[in-house]
Amino acid sequence: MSRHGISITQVKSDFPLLKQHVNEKPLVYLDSAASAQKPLEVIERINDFYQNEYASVHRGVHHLSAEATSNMETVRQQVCQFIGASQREEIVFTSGTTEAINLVANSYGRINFKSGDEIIVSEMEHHANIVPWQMLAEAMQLNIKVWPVSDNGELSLDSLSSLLSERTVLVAVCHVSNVLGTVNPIRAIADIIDRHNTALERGASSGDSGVSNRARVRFLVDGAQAVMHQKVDVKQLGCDFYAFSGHKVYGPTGTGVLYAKHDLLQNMQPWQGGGSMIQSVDLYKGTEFNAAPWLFEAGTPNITGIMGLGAALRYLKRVGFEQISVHEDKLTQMVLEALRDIPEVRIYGHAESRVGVIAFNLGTHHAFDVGAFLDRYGIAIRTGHHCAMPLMQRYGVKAMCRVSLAMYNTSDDIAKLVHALRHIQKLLQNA
Amino acid sequence: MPSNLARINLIAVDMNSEKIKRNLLSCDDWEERYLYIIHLGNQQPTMIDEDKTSDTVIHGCQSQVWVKITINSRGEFGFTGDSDASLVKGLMAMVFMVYEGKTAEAILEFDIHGFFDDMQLHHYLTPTRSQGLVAMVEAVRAKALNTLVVEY
Repeated sequence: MSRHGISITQVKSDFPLLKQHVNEKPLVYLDSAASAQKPLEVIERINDFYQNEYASVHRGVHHLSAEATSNMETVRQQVCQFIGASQREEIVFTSGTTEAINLVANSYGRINFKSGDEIIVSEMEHHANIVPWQMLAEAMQLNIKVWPVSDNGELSLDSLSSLLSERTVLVAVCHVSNVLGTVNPIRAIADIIDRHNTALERGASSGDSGVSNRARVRFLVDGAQAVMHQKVDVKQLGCDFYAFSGHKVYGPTGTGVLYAKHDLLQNMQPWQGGGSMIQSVDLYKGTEFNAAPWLFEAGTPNITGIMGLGAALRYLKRVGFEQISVHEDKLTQMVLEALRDIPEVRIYGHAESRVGVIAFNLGTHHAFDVGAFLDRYGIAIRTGHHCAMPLMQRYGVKAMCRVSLAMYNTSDDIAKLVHALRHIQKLLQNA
Repeated sequence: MPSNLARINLIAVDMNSEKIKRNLLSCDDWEERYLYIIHLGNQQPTMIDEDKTSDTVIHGCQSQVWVKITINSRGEFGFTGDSDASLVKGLMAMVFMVYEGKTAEAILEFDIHGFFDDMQLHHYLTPTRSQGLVAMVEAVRAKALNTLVVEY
């Protein structure tokens, strides 16, 4: 911990919402994978920006606008450092992971993919990393190939190699599963894709196949569930695109980031047109576009949200991922051990490399019933299909319960959860 | 039957909204209340699997709900249904019990939101469709409205 660091033991007290009671019980918030709570510093930053600094960006010559523009660009630099990008021009602000992935589909995919090309998505993807590709596939006659998930909740690198073909143009995979908590081997996946691209290029230069004009296989990583748990370094991961949401790193909703390698971003076409993404607009001669990344940020951005995201990243830095991962790993093991002790519990996903996102069912009781009872004890978990219906099908269930941990959770939270689950099991089996 | 529900008359025949409300509000705590709701669901006649079709399914993010509506020659509504979540099935049973045998006019007149409000269960009828219950109520009301539109 640095001199200005925050100890993990005091983190919880920095989150005002966590002090409340729900259904007359102290709130136990175990749904941070859906959205993380916000530290006071983030809330105060938003408040302060609206009270003292608010103005639109990239427009006015006046003091407030210039300050707001400069502050927003500072956050871009912060995000750049947060994920280890090479330069801040590789960072596009979006409304969230969903918009970031849709941006790649429309600004990269539409330009570079051709009829008959193939996109590989894994079976553990969130709908946000499936549906945009299905929509694009429908519009451009592309084929979607599915990378299956093992019983353990892992992706086999061998099966990726067999899925890659001369027609593959994109591999779209989550860094961390929003259901199983699996941490996917992103670097190893990137290496396989690199080797595949190199082989294709060699084939093309020796003139023995019709791949000379083929686009390289690109690698998109949905980082929505990863960025709050571990230090992400996009250069080290070796991906082409990395998307995440601000609200899952303790920042405001409606903020998100698309990282795209500089050369790629330079050659992408804007998807949404409007203000601030242009150099000049002429009704007769047409429009000259702004440079990347601003080219991809049409309209007034979520300026306040971006300021809040900056505050969230500052807060995260002061706590530090070293402390966070030790603390969260300890709690994750506690949950897993306690759940294994309840005979009726079935846990989904047993990946070796994982974070504190834990999916399970309690006997034959529907996740909704379990979640509704837990809610009455003040315990917030997520139930349902978790926007991952293909994964539900993979495990042959309609719904799961999901507990997800964040840096502010405590061993007391886990004890309350486990106690409540045992009680609910007793109640429901007699109902 | 849960032992702590022994005081309440659990025979779910000839139930009306007042009886359900009375029973529910006489529960000692919310735990008993939820168990009573589940019990009402369990007492519902089982919906046969053949009736669980794309025509009867109501999609919710949290649970699956099926509802089959029949209207007899006197214009009275009848219901069968199921849900994979016990609590939703129980809430559904409550809706069926208050709507059962009512005409389209009576269904549209009945203040279903007020009914759930009175029992402090209004959050189950928020328009998120998250458990399919609100979608189910809307489907019943739409059918009732449709009946009237066709009539006139």
